Amino acid sequence: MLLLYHSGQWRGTVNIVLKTILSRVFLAMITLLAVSMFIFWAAEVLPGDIAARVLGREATEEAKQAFRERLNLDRPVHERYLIWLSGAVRGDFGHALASQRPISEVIGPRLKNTIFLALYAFILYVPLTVFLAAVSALNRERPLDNTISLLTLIGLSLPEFVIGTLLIYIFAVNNPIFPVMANVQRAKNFWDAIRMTTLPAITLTIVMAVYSVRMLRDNLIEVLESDYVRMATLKGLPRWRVVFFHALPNALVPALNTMALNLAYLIGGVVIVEQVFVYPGLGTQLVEAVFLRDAPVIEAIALLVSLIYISANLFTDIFSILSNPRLRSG
Amino acid sequence: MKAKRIFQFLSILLLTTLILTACAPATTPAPAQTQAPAATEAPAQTEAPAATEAPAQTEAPAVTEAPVMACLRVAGVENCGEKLNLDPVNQPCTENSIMVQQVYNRLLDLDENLNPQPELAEKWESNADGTEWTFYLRKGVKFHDGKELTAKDVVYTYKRLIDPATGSEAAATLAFLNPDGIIAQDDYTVVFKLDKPVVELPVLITSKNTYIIQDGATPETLNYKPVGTGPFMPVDFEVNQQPHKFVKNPNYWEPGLPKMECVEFYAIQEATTRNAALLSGEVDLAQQVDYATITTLESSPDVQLMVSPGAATSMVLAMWVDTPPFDDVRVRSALKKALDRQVMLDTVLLGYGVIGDDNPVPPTSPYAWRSEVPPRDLEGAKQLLAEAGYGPDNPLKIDLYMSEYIPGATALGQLFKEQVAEAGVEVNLVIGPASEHWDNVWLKFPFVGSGWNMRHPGEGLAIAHRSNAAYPETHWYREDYDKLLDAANTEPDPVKRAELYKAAAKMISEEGGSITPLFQKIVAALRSNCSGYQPFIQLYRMDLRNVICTP
Repeated sequence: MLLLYHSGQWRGTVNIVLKTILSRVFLAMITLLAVSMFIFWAAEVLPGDIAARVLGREATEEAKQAFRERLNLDRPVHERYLIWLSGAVRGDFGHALASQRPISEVIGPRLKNTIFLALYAFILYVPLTVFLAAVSALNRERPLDNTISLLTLIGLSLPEFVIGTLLIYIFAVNNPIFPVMANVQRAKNFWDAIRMTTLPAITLTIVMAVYSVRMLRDNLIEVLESDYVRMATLKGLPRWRVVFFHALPNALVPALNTMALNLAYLIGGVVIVEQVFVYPGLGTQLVEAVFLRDAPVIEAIALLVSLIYISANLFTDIFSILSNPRLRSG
Repeated sequence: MKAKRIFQFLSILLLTTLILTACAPATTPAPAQTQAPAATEAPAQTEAPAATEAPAQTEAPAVTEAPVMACLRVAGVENCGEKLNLDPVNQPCTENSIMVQQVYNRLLDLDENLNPQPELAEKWESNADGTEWTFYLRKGVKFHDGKELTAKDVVYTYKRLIDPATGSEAAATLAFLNPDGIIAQDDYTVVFKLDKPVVELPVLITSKNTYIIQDGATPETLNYKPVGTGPFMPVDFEVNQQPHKFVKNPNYWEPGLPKMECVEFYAIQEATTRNAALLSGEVDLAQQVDYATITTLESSPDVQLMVSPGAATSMVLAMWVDTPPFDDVRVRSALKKALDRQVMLDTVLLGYGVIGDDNPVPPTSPYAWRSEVPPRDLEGAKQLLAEAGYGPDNPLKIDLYMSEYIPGATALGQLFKEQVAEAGVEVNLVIGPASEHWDNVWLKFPFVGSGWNMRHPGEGLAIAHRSNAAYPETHWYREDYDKLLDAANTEPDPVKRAELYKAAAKMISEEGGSITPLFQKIVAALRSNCSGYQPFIQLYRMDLRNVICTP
């Protein structure tokens, strides 16, 4: 950005930057449209009969047929896609097939819960990763680094439900500090909600951090050996300034992609942790909807997760462009 | 440059698509059932002030100032998601069933031998040949909204259940009822007039769906704001809520019951979490505990295990008796003889069960044709196989399709494979996902795992084995068998009827395609400061009226 101010071609550069950003945004929207088509097709062609799933195995054939007709399941796929899309762009995703409730009512509360847990886990995860990676990189090959490496290796090998269950037994059953069930809908206030979601948030943090720490540590080591870092050290800057203001920002940029991926995972993929802690989140709802073949719910949640993932990627792209002049193109 | 043009074209295309779809006429199909708007709520329900922050929406005229007491917290095993509702006609999950039975009552109840007991009906009688049954209702029973229970409510309930437009899962078992033959003779008398004699009518009209609803009630209210006569009433029932809260019905017709002021239902599918919640005191009662994790609970002083009084769910390996190699009765018998059922009981169910006798009636039942199942006969099995043409140079090879559709099923499959291997049979065990089992595996392959909730023999012997059964899982089509069941259905003398059931059970045991090595017992867990709960032999039935927890 400093380069921009000093260069005389301020306007020209802004033009280029804007163009690049806009082109990325357009690409993102096209991706989203294509993804929506794929999601719709996938949800509609799933084998299995929603009528049997909702009404139960012992329901009569007439009842099932009546159910199907009521929900327009006999119209052709492309017609149903356009109906759905026209509603979706206005925020109306239709009604859940199983209970006839509007989708916004069905996934609204779950989305709120998931975002809460995602933010909590993310806020724990980023500083923890940075801290552990920095400590490791600075103490390379020494006992501290080796210990951290060992711990991350153990964390990598343990499946999430084992980590979650272990945390439950240590911190909820044997020493009742936190509750077993993250029943966040019954939380009395903000701090109560924090208390309830701490164990699942820690579980998710561990699960995500073990990958990022290793990656960031390797990046950081590489950057710490580059010329400009040596220059900064020789100039007499304190070590911590060198690390945090010069080395880390550059090492962090490739790690941003992983963090964006992790954010998307937090929104849509934490069903196992949700099951272990009985957390009313979006992941469980998506899985239930798939079992039920409840297409509108599947489509809405899948689209939401795609939107978040595409947006997260978009932001990291834009951030990279803004911070790295070499990435700008015409 | 070319890339730029393509890009511009694509963006115009994108914008056009979006504009067109946004302006398309709104043809989203309106749901057939509109949710009842909040304004028309069910008339005043007395709401005991809750310990937590449940908002007080309905101001009842006569609010009983009950002291604030802890609720009984129940952990169910299944989360029904969007399918959850309180309409008795269809209960696709156990989560629905355990809540429905708190809100309503049935005409009759079934005791642990599945014999009918009075509930809303004080007494009942039939005419000489069983074509006309009369039920006398208890007087003064009130619904939660204050209206009195009358015969019209019962008539409406049953007519709705058998109406094909309702699409109830109970319609098949109640098919013998004629809608015009269900009559309210007066305010407290209901008569069932039948075309053919049905001697087991009291048992057959008592199932998990036959809870009595108000005359004229529709899904608009039944789904989320039901009104019943039962011991508990729902409070702000919502589908996605956890837990679901129910308060005591202050006007419940059984004096002194229910004992708890309120009940909260949690749904915890993950077995280890359910145990943890029980151990940490977050729930008081777990509907069922996994056999694999029973030992952790056994050793805790805070938790007591409660076992159902008798055999509950059967574990069955169903063979198609008309398909080779199972069409040879010697092969079927050999497979049955080759099993060491005691080992299966100890390994799969940790002893919490009953050995089965290859038919739907457990040996512990008064209707069993024998009470002792002979031990393993490996030599006999080998001999039968040899007679059927199999031996070491021509081993019998079969495929068995299993999944963990009930706890312990895959272990049972593996143990089966190992045990029959000692008789020279090679089993290819195909294990699939539990969620697909009932849709895609059961009834579709010649040798699959199955399981049945405990039923009265009249129903249990028919549901899978009659020639016209809805679920012919063994392809057993035998006229002589049907004749036995028909005779039992019309035999008024209970002793003779029992003999007919026994004869039918014997036939399935000796010649049928149902290998039934085990019956599970339901094991529930209750915290030590609570008492008064006994698991029933049907998993979905939880009788909470007598449960009491002291702090």
